Amino acid sequence: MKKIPFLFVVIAILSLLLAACQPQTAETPAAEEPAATEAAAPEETATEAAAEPAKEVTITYWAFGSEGAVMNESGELWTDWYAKVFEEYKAEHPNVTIDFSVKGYDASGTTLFIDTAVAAGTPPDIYFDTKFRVKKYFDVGLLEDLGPALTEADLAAYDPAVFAGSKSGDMVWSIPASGGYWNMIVNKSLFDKAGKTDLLPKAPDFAWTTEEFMTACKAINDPANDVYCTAFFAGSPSMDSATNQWLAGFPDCKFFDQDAKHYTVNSPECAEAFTFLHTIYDEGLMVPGAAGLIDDTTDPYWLNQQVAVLGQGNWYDSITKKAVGEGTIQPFDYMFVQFPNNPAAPVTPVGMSNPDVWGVFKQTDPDKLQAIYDLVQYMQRPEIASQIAVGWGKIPVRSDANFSSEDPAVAAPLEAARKFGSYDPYFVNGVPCNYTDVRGAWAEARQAFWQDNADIQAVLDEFVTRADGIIAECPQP
Amino acid sequence: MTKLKTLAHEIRRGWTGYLFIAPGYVAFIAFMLIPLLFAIGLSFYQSSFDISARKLVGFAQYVQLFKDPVFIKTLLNTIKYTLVIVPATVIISMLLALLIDPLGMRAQSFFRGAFYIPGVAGGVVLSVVWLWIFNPTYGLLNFILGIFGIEPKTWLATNPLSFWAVCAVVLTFTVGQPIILFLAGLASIPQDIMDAATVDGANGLQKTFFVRMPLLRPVILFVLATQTIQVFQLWEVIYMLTNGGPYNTSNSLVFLIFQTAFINAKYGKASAIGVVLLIIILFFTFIQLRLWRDTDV
Repeated sequence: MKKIPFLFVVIAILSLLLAACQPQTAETPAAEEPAATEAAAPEETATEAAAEPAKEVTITYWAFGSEGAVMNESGELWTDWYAKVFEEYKAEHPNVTIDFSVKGYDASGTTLFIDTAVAAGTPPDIYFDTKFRVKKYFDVGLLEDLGPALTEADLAAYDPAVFAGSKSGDMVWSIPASGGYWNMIVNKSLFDKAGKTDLLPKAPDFAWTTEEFMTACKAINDPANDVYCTAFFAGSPSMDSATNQWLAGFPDCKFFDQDAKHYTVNSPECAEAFTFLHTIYDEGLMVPGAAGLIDDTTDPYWLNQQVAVLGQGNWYDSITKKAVGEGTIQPFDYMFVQFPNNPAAPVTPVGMSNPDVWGVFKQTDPDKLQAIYDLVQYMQRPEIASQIAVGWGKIPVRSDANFSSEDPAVAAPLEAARKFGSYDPYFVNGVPCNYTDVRGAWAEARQAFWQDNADIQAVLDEFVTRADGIIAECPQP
Repeated sequence: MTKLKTLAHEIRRGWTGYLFIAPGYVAFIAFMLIPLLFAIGLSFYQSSFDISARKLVGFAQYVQLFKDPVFIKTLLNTIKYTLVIVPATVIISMLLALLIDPLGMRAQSFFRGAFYIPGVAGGVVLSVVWLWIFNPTYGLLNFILGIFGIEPKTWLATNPLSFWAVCAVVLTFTVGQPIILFLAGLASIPQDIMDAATVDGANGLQKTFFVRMPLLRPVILFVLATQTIQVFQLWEVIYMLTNGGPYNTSNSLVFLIFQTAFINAKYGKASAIGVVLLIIILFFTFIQLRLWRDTDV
């Protein structure tokens, strides 16, 4: 028995020694606070970006995707397209070698490959992925400021709502290549079948007020025959945008106060918005089980024509086209409309799906950093970034991309975005740090919200307390 | 020093034996012991992706943990899972074993296999099947309830249904092994004891309660010990079915470790949760070892 305390002492000493003796990895740049850094003057940056580093550099570039994935209608593979682009780049920059890899989800359906590489001190230099996945590296101070990679013309060209989500203070921690503008998708065939087409939103705005939406929703809802008006998801943090987008119809509801660094989603205005959403649940107008649903679960409801109205229209458009192409479903008619707006509010701005962005991990060699800036500057140009955007089925987020489309799934939200503005349903009203934790807390709040007799104010208050506590732990600049 | 010399002498004398067990020990040290010690050490640091930039915070993370409502909720959930699943496993598996025991060899073999196969299939495979059964719209369970006029339920998305749904799924694969153990235990009860009980006028129920069950005590304790440890490590069913939701009401400590380390990249905090779990498991193991010793097994 006397041996036990001795054993504990030995274990404690060994543990501390092991943890303390972990080598300071030379390749991993030391984490710094993601404080706002002084961005270089745009005029200078353009000149700097053009400067050619003298020595040989190798830049590791990872892009999210899967090997063998096709990027365009001519069947070109992403890997071949990147090889071609890099070859052209190398012709102008012979001292730069680009070590490129496409990295997809691992077996667990996550991107642990990059977390592992970062933890091992071997992150790529440039990482291209969706914004929320890149952001978590910014939150722990591992990303470079990309302001010096952008010219004044670049800065002016980006959609302000999209670009705001890539900044923190003055620091540009990522550069967006694409954003899938979305609005709601409505199964017209179901409305036709029910003889309720008069309840659909009309041209030119294709907008519903919340009252009009509820009238249409009740008219089309038929749970006895497994047809529901709409669906919500709260089963995973990543589907928060599908709920957040509804807040765009309630412009007085501010999710977060960027200046005060305080969550305000429990305000009376937001409580009004969420009370409206809960009415949809209370009246049985949505697919059951929102608290546990994810988009994968909801897809079949749309494809089997069991749900009439959904957010993220471009996603549901893409899976419908795919299923029709494969012959697994019969084609049906659908249209794109704006998210409902509070009757007192203007037409809802268009949601912008999580953009794909470039992030650059911290560098110790200034020459290499300059070469990386140069490469990022090259890639984010409209002629290249647009190809990436289209390859992902998204839309370029630069006004100088001269982008247009005849596909209604792209043309309708794009036109609406130009008319009614855009809205970032991910980083609503600002980009606090520790966002991954906040999203987790928000997922839990939404799960609590989608319960019978949920106390909406209490759920929102609890979330605000938690989220404020999470951002209070942020490193102070 | 003398002990060390004795050890060295022992190793020299039986070096071939040590050579044979060396691969196992090397793997144990490399993949279990060192990571365990490293995790214990890391729990005293605040650490994210860049472990080299970790910050020594002493016991601060442990203090924070016990102020964290998610951790507290998850800890209580894990205890609840143990309190529900472990006794249920023991009772169900023992009842099934008592029912199977009197059957002939062929029938016994069939039932052993039938109950053991889900355990072999594993939690992930079973969870996929149960996901379909629990589906609120297409699911078999709601379909059956609908026949009796019962309203469909959202089994995996409503509190407290999701907790009970996880328990039910776990029970489908935890009872298999204990049934085998109880059947082996029942088979080892000497026939003369049972005959003596019959001569004394004991009926079937009395024989079960006053003869079989006391004699099965070592098996019961073994099942209790192994099941408690297994349930404390529950995570794959939660990952597959509920993701810990809704709002953490079905979360478990191991799944929280996964979320903290691999979703939120808080390795120090995840290690601290791991150490708390280690202490809890050690505590239960210690109690069960004491009980075992008292049983004179």
